[in-house]
Amino acid sequence: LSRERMAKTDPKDRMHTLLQGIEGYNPQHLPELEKHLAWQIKENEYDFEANLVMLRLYQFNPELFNGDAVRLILLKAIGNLPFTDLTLCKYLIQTDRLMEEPLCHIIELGSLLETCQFHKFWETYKENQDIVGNISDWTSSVRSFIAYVIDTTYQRISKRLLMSLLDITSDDELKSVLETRHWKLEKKTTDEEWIFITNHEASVKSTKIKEKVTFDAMAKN
Amino acid sequence: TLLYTIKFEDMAWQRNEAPPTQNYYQETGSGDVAEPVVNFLKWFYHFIERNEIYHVENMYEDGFYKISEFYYKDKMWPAPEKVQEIVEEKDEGSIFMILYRELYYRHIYARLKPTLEHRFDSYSNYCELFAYLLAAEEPVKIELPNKWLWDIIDEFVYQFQSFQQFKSKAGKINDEEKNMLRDEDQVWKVTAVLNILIQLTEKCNLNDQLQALEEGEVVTEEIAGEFGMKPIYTMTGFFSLVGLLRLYCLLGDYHMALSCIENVQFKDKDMMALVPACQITANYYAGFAYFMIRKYANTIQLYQHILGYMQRTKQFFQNRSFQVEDINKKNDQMLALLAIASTFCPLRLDESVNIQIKEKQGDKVARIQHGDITVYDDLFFSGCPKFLSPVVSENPTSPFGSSGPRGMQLQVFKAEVEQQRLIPTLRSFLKLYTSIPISKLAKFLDMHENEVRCCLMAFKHKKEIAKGDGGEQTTLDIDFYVDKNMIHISDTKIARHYGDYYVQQVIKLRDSNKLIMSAALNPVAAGPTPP
Repeated sequence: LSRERMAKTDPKDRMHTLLQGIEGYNPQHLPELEKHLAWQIKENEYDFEANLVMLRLYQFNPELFNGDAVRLILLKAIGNLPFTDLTLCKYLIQTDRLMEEPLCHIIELGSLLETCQFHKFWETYKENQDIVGNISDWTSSVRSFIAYVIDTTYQRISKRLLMSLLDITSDDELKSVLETRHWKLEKKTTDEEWIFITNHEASVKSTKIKEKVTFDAMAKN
Repeated sequence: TLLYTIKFEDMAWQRNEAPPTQNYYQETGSGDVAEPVVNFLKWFYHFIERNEIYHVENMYEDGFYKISEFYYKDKMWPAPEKVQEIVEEKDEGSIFMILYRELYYRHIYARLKPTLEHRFDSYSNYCELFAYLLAAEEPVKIELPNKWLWDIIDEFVYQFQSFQQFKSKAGKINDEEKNMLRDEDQVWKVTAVLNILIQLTEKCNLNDQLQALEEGEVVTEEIAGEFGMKPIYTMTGFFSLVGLLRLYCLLGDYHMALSCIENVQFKDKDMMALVPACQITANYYAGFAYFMIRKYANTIQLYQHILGYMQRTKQFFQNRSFQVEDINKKNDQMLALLAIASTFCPLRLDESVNIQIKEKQGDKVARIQHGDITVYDDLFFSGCPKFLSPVVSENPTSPFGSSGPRGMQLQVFKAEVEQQRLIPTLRSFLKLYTSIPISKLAKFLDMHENEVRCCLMAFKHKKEIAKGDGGEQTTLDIDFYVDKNMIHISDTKIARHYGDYYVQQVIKLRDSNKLIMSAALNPVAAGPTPP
């Protein structure tokens, strides 16, 4: 690959070209990959493929295992929910390692999110904030996921419940969330305030699937 | 000039000739080689040298197997040096000798127990074979039957698996072997095995070819390259891709497994379909990879299709008992995984598959529905492949040795089972209503309202993942939404399918008619006449 092409493309492309084929198993690339991970954290970028390469290298060369890098990779994977990145990562890490601190707390946080126990998640998060550290925008990625789940589940939800699920306390924060997700705060009629999420009634309907018998299908048999 | 003492058509294995008495031969290597075997080897050499692929295929698939059954059931084939003498081949590095050695070691692994030396020698032979293909400056002239190419790759991955398993049984390795392992630490190294398979796919531009096929284009030399235009390179490349799929799954790397086959179409009329064993293997591992990343709908789709295919083609494998065994095993593994997948993602299954599941796993499925989640372990163990760890440490007491690769995969799977624990119960309650307040449901489930809300959201979240990338799916699952404090449920009912049943009856009637007609024409042949 010519030098000019490599210089033009962005860090993710460069990394993927570097790791083609069997190079993805070359432990000499680890320092470069660790820098790439730091870049992701700082610039709020995400390169799942590169992070998986790091996990594979640790799997193939256990003496090079870097617990801190793994911590960051798992946190980034959680930030990408609902995609199954976290599960894929877990398969490549030794169970013993996952049960040690601090990784075990991160796995717990991931689990709470996947089972949608959001209140418990925020509790546990606040107890372990130092483990998460200061990954820029991590909490907003998590909120994004929670909002997505609320989107698919609710047609109307109480304002009180919504704010507790998303762990937002001020009305200003709520306003910006409503704007981003196109949700509407309904006019206050009772002492409970409701937020309209989306019209599920139109799409979630009972159906009966009838069998279509065609001559072609019968002829095949 | 008459080169050989016997005509090809008259060879013993083609006439199913019985083997001689037991004490006719001395130990392999120093004793005589039976004449039929000598003839077989000479003709085999003759056809391979002349690229007569039709006869090569015949001798490989039928002859080699039959002679192994008759003469070498629990013995090694004649030593390669002896065979070199017999066929009068001067070069021990010739392609025929490399291929013969491959068969020789394959036979040892299949019927006997390989020693550590056998393992090392077999590995060097594979390196020679693949170097022959990969280091060539222009495409090699030899052509080989597809089944043989598949078997080479399949066996290569299998021998690697066997080596890793051998190393992990640290208690059974003696000191001499330990030294040998330490000296030759490059042999059967996981990165070397991966590298070979990757290079074989790249040599023929396999990914470009697959992409072109996906878009319906014709594969030209521009796309495939000089090497890709020869079937031996493209087919070996394709089988190596399936080999990679399998290896990635065994190492727990499901993401890589699925990305490497992203351009492969799982259709009946495909490169894969040329060798049934390849098709079954590919479908099993692809389905397994989807299963482990929780895209159950994809697994169900693939497995249903391949199980149907296996039912229909079972009769063609009857003459090869060892193949039937393999196929039956894969069949059962897929059924076990299907049983699990359908509890997480209820989809409509074909009647024939449903019957098979009921037969083999019926009691286990019933236990799951009664809330017994320990059954998942059993089903998972029956269905999963033999996982490998890329690194096997020498010291058996090291922490990496104890929690073996299978244990690791199981832990992650169990976490998923735990997460899904409440969902079947939730589903069965929701099915009974079109709408129900959350408070009422909480009472039924004996949970707090908040817990119920979590469960409902988790149900939705898991459902979206399980859908995977399949297209239209006939789902048996319910759907719902929550409006304020009320759950509104929709159900998908499937009307009874009469089409298949109708066709079965028509066929039965036709067969009965045939029987009656033939009885009418031949009253004597039909049976004893009534008094």
